[in-house]
Amino acid sequence: MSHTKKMKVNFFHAGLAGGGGISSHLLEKNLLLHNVEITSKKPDLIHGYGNPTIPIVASLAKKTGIPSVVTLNGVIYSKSLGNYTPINKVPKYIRNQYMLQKMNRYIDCFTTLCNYYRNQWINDGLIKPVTIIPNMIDSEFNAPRKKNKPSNIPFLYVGEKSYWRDLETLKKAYTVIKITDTSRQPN
Amino acid sequence: MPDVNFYIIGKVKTRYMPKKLPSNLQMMGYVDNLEEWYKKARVYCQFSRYESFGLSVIEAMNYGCIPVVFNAGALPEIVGEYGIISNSEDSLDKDIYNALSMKQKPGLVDWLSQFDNKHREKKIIEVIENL
Repeated sequence: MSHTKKMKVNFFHAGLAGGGGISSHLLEKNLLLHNVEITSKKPDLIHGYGNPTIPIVASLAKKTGIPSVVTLNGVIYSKSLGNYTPINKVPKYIRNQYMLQKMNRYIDCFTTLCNYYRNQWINDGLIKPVTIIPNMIDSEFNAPRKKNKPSNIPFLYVGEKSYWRDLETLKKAYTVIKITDTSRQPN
Repeated sequence: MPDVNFYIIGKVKTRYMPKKLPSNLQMMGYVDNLEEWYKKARVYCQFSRYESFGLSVIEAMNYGCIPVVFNAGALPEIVGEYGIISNSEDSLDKDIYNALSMKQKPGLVDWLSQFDNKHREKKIIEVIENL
């Protein structure tokens, strides 16, 4: 994929509700949704963030032939070890069984946040290119934050839709809080 | 270390905390002015037993704090020679005292430039172009 700076690249990001940990039920549901979206949007590139996206990205890449990249972050889904397990705590045979074959066969390349995880995957048998791309500092971080910023948003939640974030309680709270701007009340 | 003041920023689950806190430890909860705390602190401690990156360590280093971290995951890679890597709980007091007396080494700004958004953007473009 040359001349990236000049051409517009359509990305398809395989983001998953739940971030690092995801149940097999959600995985199937997401795969179905992504299959529908990818057929209609026809992206130039598929990107998955986090190890749980590997099966989805591999499946879509295999089906469509679209170039694919996965950012490997240090958590893995494992039924036997719980939903959210640091990858260095997962036995090697589980990584091999669930991940490595698909990774080596269908996904074009990978990125990691640090050399530590890159080496772990390579030691386990990953043969595709792995580029280290560290996280970054927000360039605005040094700027003084705006104080008393007026807001007309009565309720804002930013974050995952994971069950452990307990959005059910948030929704319940929303229904009992008095909202003066009736045009912004929830449906 | 009764002669050193510790401040914990952020939410901590109560089950991880002792019932009676030592007088030199204060739990601050979430704060709006995190930058001010980074500016005031001399040492930043992060004793994660598992860490896939550790962005707050970079933020603290950006404000001149000397980091003290466990030898876990990406932490030694991001701290480099600009902080102290602790290998054991037994040496933490010594490591923190060492950090308190440590002077900032030259080259920190260059070191931190590998964690800025321009560098990240460049690397992402490289990956895409090589597909």
